[in-house]
Amino acid sequence: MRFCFTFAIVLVASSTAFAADTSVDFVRDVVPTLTKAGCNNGACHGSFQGRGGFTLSLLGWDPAMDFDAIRRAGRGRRVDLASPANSLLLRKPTGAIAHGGGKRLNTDSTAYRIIHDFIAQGMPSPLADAPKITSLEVLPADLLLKPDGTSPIRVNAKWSDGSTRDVTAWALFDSRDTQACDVSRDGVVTAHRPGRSSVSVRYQGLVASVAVSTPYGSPIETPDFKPRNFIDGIVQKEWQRLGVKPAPCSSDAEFFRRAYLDLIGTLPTPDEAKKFLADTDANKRSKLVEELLERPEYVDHWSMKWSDLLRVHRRYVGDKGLGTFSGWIRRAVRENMPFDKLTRELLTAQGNLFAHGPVAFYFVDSKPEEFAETTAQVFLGVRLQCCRCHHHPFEVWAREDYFGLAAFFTRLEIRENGDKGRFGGLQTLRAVAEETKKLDFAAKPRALGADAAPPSDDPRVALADWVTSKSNPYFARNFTNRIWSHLTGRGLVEPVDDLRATNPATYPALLDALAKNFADHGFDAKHLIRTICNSAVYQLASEIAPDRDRDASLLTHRKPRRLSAEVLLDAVNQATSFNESFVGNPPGTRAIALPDPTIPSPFLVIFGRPLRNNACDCSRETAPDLLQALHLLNNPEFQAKISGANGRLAKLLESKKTDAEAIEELYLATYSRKPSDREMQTVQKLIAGATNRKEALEDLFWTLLNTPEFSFNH
Amino acid sequence: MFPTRRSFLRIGALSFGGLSLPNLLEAQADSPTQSEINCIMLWTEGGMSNIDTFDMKPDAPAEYRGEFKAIASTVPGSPVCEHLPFMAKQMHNVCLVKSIAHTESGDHAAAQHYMLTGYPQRPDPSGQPAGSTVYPAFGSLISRQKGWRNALPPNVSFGGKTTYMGAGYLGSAHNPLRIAGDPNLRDFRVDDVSIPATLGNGRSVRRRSMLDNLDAWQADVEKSRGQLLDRSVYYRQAFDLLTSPVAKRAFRLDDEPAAVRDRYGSTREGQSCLLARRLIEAGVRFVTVTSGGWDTHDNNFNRLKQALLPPLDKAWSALLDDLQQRGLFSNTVVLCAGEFGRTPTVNGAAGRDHYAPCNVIGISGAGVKMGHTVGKTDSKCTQVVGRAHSTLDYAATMFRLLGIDGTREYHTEDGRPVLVNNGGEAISEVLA
Repeated sequence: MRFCFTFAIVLVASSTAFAADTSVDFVRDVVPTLTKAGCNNGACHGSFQGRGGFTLSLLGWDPAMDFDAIRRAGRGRRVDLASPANSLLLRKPTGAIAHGGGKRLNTDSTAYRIIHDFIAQGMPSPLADAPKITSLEVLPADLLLKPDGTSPIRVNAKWSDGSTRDVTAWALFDSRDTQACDVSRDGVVTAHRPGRSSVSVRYQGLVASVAVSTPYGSPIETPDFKPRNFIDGIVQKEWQRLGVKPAPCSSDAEFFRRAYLDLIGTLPTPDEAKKFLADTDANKRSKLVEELLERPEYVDHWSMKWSDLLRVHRRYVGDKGLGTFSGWIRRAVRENMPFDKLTRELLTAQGNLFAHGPVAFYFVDSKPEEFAETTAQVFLGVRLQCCRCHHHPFEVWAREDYFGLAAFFTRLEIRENGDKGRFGGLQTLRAVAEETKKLDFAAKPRALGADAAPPSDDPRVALADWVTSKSNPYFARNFTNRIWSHLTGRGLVEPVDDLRATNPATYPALLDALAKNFADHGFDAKHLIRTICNSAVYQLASEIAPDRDRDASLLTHRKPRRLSAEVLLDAVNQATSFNESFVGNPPGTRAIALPDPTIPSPFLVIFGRPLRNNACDCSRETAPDLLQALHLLNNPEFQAKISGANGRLAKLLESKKTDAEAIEELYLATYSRKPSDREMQTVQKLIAGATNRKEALEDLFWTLLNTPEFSFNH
Repeated sequence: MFPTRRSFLRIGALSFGGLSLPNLLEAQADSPTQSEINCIMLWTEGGMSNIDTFDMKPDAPAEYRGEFKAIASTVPGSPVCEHLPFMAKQMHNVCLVKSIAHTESGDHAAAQHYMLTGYPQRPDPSGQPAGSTVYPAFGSLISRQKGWRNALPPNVSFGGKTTYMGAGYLGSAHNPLRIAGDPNLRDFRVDDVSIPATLGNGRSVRRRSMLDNLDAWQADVEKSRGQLLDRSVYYRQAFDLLTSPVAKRAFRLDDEPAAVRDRYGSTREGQSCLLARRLIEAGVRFVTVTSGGWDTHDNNFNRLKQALLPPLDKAWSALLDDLQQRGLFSNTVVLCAGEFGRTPTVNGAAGRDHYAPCNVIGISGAGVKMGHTVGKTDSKCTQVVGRAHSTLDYAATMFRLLGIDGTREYHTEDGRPVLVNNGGEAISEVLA
């Protein structure tokens, strides 16, 4: 009740502000009114084709265009200066005459009065030197609400002339997850489900967000959780505040398998598993992490990740360019090249495609606009695509920002030396003095939120400086979030490449601390991986308390996820001891080491190998589907791997091992753990009771390979 | 507790990530089925020569009209190629559309994206998908919007591995179940879908019970949700498909009388079409039958008359005849289309090259005004005369016929909102 009361005061206050102002300004007053009423949203007049012949800019990003659409387009019939109330602009949204969008305004509303008064004033054109909106403040920025608790948000905007105003009534509010909390049109948040979520606030091209935390109960202690590093401290504090308990620490076997799959994309062998499980060293987990970081498969696994992101594919660079590009990435991973250096080498690449790997970056895309989008998405985790045509609907970025970034790439030239050798012409990239590509929208080089770059021979150098700077708010967070997500199955920000104010991290303090640590350690990926894997949070078991943190966003437990296509194929082959050969690759090449997705493999296609056709992390399919289930259940080639003459099972059968020994080996080969006593008893009984031992063991092997405990990383 | 679909769409719009949408929900139908119209699509991959088949120009100069003679069909004024004698007797059951034109003559893959999804864009310059969004083919939209009827998946495809025949941004759950085997072969087996003879049913049942018994991890540790829950849903579907008597019966071509099998022709296309009919009867909603080899850059006439036209002629005509006799025209649409037509002039190798400004497709069945031709090409088949239709209009027509909701908005993998029908208008002359 009290909240509602406060809110009423806010409303009165804001309308008083308008009443005190004698003149109505188009940009300051009318556009926000249209935005709030929904007139210019993407489904209505804000769509590119407009509605009913009336087109406004999306959420009012282009007031000049909107003014024109209202005042002049449609032969001026939308407004009636002599009798404002007769204007189509008012009669349609009030429902006085038919309106496809229904009734949007009441005749007694403030919004109606603003539009009405503006028309009555003779519709003065927007002034070029009118004060610009500079910042948005939301209060409170952090809300702690019990389930069903409510609280209003207040929004203040500041203009370049120093004026401020309460704009709560005109701001747009959206809940990030309406299951977790709702927000009303006028900014009152209602919490539903315990957990963490946020509400975004948008006003006139500026954005802010309000963190909403809803505890499961009273604050608690978590005495069973033993912090190991700074990650744990930050997360533990949040759990205590939210009243949620973490899962217990993982068993050695669980951690062991997880570390192999996360760090080197490879299943451990039965011997490796036995050795680790028998090791009594208290530090064996940290030691394992160190060992894995130096394994050759580490290079395969992480090169595959960065090759997906950079779209390493022969369709862009040809067979020979593929060699230099993927060779360079593998070297960078092997030598643990710092990420600022890696990024700089790519962004400022020059020279010959066939000799210098990073040059290939400039062959994947071709237009300056595409380079800008890729740079933002890959290195900064910022999705800028929207701004090619309009202001970003959920960010501060405008078309000027987009084309400012594109302008860094307008002076690149690719030359062929004309010598059509065996591998096609030699191609050389260099920066030149004059523009080689024109932008649709003229702009000077300017990085996001930065000042214009000083003129230089190759503006990309200044861009690389800005991107990789420790003070860049995106760079370290982006790679930290990507690596966190690769290791845990979920980014602190999701989707991983969508960092923006309206999409905050679940625990912003954790992302900040990790990113700072990453930057302070010279953007050393192995250091970051080590830090994460040695944390107690990473080492939690995958079980969860009922109804608590089901999507693992609060990090209370490990989120199980399906092995990626390549890792799964290698795991199947290793478990069954099958030597898979891939066309055009030397024998023994594993799926995670394949250079690009052109190498045929029905298995990899079914399980969602990405085509490397866009720089979005989302292009790798991990969703299960029917074909995958059918393949594992019933595919003849898959069956043959189980029963193959040189396979693991065939050798087991020859070896005269006892049933118990054979069963243990199959469990170790698939689950990287020994069977429990109960499992052992059940299975032994099944095998002993079977008429055909070979068939019974085949069936067991098949079963193990078909359970999620095998095909999931947990 | 899963979020409702509606709330998730709202989050998707805000977070720019339709990603978080639980895949289980993806696998379910969008809405209770409004229309129960099925479809069999005959896809002439490579681009069938229009001027040599259904848009003949007997009065054009020899370098245009080619070698074939036209014969009269059951529709006055609509002669067809002499090598299509069976189709000549079925033209009253076909609506020929000659007004669909596009611009992508260069590249098969791009043109296939145009004609399989309706979206006139080229996802990748080199012929593989790249750079931009891949849209869903009609069958995947049906799968998404209407879901499963029974143990059989809604979307099945025979032969062919066309890149853009899949679900695109709708996600792999809506890809067709692809059947690679040739139904015309004696030992035809549905890969992955029929239990290997070596394994036998008894052992398969044993394995399934073993899987249920030993899967302690899923049962205990995980309170099944997200991917794990999806996974068990698909395993159940897979088991149902493997063991369902309906599915087994549907695939048993031997149950068809020899006369029927003969009528469809002892060819891959023929037996695939027959199987398609059986699958539709058993509960599948959309079946694609791909007929390959139509890319006749050389030796066009011999290849058409010897290898390509006879199987298509028999299969397509038998399908139309059979569906009509069984009363299935009331709930089934048959579409025969390819990515483009072929050049009006014959080239030096007695072939014809790609030509997107003219094409011909045939539509029959439920809701279709049959026995006439929509659109007209000029005397040499170089361009559409009068009103031409875009591939968006073509798609809108199919949406209308198949009961696909074109007003629905989905999100691409990276969260961009896309409308199913982005400005296409159904071609009214096609509709009954």
